[in-house]
Amino acid sequence: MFRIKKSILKFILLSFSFVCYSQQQFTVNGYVMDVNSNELLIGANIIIPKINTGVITNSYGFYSITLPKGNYKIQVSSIGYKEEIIEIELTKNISQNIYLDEDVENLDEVIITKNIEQIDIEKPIMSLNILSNQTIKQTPVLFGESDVLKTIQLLPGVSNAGEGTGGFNVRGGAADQNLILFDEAIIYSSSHLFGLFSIFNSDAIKEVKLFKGGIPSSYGGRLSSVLDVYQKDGNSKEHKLSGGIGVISSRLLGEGPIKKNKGSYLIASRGSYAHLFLKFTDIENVAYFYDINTKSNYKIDKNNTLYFSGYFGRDKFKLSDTFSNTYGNSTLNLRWNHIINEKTFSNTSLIFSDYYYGLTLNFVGFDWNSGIKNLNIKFDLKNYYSNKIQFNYGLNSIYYEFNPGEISPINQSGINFTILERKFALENAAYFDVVHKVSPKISLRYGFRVNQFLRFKQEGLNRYLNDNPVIFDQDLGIYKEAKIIGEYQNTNNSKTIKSFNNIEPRFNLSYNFKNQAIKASYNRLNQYIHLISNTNAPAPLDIWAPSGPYLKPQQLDQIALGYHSKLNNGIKIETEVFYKKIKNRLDYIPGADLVANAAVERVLLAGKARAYGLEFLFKKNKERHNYWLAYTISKSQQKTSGKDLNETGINKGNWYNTGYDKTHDFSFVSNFKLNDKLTFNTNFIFQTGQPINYPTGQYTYMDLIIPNYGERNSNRLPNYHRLDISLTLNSRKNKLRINKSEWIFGFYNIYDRDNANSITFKQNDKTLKNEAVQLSIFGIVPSITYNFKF
Amino acid sequence: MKKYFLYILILFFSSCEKVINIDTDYSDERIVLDASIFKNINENFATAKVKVSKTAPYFSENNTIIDKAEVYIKTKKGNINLKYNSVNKHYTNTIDYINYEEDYEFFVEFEDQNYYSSEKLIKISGIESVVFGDRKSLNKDEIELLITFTDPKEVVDFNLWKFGPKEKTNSYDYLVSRDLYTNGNQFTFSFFIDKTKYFKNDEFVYIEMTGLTEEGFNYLNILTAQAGAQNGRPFSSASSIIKGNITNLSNTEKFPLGYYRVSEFDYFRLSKEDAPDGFFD
Repeated sequence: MFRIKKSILKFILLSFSFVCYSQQQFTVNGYVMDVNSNELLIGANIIIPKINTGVITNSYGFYSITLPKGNYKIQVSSIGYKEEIIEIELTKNISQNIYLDEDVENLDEVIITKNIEQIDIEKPIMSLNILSNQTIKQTPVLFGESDVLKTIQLLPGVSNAGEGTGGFNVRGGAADQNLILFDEAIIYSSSHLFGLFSIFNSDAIKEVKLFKGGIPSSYGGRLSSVLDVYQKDGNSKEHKLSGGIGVISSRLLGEGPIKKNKGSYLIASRGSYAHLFLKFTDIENVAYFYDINTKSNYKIDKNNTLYFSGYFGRDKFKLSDTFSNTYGNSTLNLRWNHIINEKTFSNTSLIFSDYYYGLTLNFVGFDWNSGIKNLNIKFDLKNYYSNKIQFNYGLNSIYYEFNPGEISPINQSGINFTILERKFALENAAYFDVVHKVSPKISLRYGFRVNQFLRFKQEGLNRYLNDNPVIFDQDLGIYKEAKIIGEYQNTNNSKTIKSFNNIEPRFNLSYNFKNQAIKASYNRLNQYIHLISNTNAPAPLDIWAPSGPYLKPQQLDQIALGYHSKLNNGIKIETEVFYKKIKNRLDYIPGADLVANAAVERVLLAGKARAYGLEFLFKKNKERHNYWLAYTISKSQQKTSGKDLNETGINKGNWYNTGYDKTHDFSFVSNFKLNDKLTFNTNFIFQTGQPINYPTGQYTYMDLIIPNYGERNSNRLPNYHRLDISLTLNSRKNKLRINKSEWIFGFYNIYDRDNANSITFKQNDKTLKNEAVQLSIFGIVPSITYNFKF
Repeated sequence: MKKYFLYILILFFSSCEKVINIDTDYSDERIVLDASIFKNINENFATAKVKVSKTAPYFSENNTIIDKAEVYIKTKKGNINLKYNSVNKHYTNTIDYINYEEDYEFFVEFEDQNYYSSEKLIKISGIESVVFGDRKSLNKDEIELLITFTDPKEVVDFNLWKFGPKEKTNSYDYLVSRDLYTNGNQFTFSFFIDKTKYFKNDEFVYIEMTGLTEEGFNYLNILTAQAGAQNGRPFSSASSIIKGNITNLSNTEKFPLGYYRVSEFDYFRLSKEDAPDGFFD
């Protein structure tokens, strides 16, 4: 079977042979790995100084470069590793795996050669931030638990809705517009304990990439960003155990060979015991989370490797006997990496993701279950055609099952068993992407993604008069849910009730000169599934809804321009401006009830959104002191004017701030190595306060004092800022034969700033005067963590 | 439900609340009409009560009460004028006979503006029983009430529940409900009341049930949430101006706030003495 497939692939590849060579060419390919663990290295640089060219390893650690016949010195490097120089005699195609050794002397810094800088700045890609495991681990965080999502918020263009909220916002985009991939599996809810922790166990993470713009055509389905998180493969040389003990959670990771140098496993788990710190100890309250990461791989032969990865995580809450709640993600991924020929690499993945939300309310008497499941099949091909052209293309198909909610009664409570009908859809995509070095100065990356979304037939889909689910009452000036006049009828007999087809062009350009580059990009993206939420931050029980007869897909166009430069003393400067506009952004009508709503289309209005801004990043890597400064000034707005001129829309049809519009966003991250044993880490954040509404007056109805409000999001919370510090104390080889151990002492919000999480306008029970009450969640929080490695 | 998530956060950590000074703009002065016609489930007559006032700046408690408006209800048998009662500060009158079929049209004239609304009488099923329950809430001062009623199957029902009085000010707690998941069933639900705030004036708690239209349910659902005044909280929706069912016939832009309801009501008095021994210790 392999053979048949191979021949088909070859045929496809040959059809791209439009460039001819007069000189004899040969290819060198292979994997770049850590010499101690065989961990594949993503994004390692492979440079051929002689002819001033190079490539980087792909997401699976593979590289391939085609050169004229001859002898070459190949320079290979990756952050945190010693540079390796190998010599090859290229008289035929050769396969060469390259092993790098960890740079223990100088963990944080590679000796950057000019060639690498050159390669880096030439890449026709922008608006991309890559974080290594080390960077994530060095950033001081709440309770000492290092966290991917908290770390990316220190980058330019990334913010979030505040403490105690999950999700993040990229370049003024909504939290549901981020494609979060965990070893290629789609993640629908990225946080534990309402955003206090991310679901990613940083011990098991190899690398994180965040695309904010110029998104390559291999990605699609969300508008604002792609957060691509890769798990470690596991050590295939020797068994290792590492872990950590913190004030609120603990971690343990085991890895080792299944068969030496052939296959490996990795199992990592985490658990929190946060509820032991609950203020109320006399009632039975429970609040904790746990998660398990697994990964294993097996090298069948030189050209075939199988990978298996999985994740399972749950949050559990129980408050006395009134309320209990369980939710979390699970994913499974089976992957097959296959080297088709010396220039062509393929990956085939079969991925399953599931998000489950369960709730039991004893005092009302029901159980609630909802969630989303998908099955995702993906095929990607990378063809390193020449050292100037690389082709990437592939296919992707995602089958969705949405469960908007099921209610079942408990203890004969008088609640009727109710099912909000399940929804089904299929999203298909094909992409083509070319990375093209046109001249020594100009590099391009261009391509397109074709996609299709099919919404399938289901029970319980409503029909409305004139197909209009939301009606406007002109006399009262309010939006109302339309009357249901029957079951939605399919015009033909097919299984599909609505389909959407789109083509998304993508384009990136880099023009470089003297270690500087001017970059430009354009991308179009469509998003077919919407997170229906009336809150500024995603809540665990928010429901995903597919596009269909009443909800149209959101569509974004983004352009970005950038100036990147690298100076000799390890300084890197990146400045970018962006502008994006979005069609069919949904907003809810005033007072919409979205939870357990069987027909959400009756409370939603489509409008548009736009965001623009400037981002600035200054990064300095010097031997002992690494730091970065990030600043973003931006605007994010929405406009929902209604279907015709008679309607008022939202905020009278004018542009209004989105709930995540942050004018200024500044962060400073530094890590200073005092000596071999001590490292001092700092970060500082300043953000404009989140948009909210203040009352414009008050009145009395019944005996209640009702605050009267003006336009949506016209005021703000006070500005948010805080400083965190931590000190890492390293020791190697102690009496317990622990190979490496470290203590981390940290303070979150060291100057104890009362950052506003919310402002409540209410009547004081005693004085009967109206007052504004600010709630702050975290003051100064000390932490201590012990990490070990055997 | 969302309240619970916040509870969890607050319980966990060293969260702190403090009163802050904020300047709010007062830009949108409007007339507020709190209008109702209520009929006891066991009687034939109904009482109309209308309070006319104005909005005020948020941090001022002095809402002007308007006593010079002309208020009347138009029925088939003619207009019923409501007279101002200066003690209770509202306009009131009795409607001798009220039925389910008729439209009861509501008119207010004040400063050359004409406000108007129209509703039919809403039938309710009535309260079957209220007893003390023994479940615990997060707040140790809260005790459980178990309220039982039977939901009629033929119609979609929306109800407003009123609990009180609490504190010395005779204020009430409100709960809106609908029969989305309980249609046609005998249904018992819990409501937790704070025992340190209730039973201040009397030894009983008064529980009242009234009916709502679907629009009325939506209105009060938002209103009661907003009166609790969550704002900027991560799990609350953006607050907005709440438009009711009364229009200004003279100028639609200057619409009034408030609502006009016509409904039956039923009530239950649960005495402190009905509680099991030791319940209030």
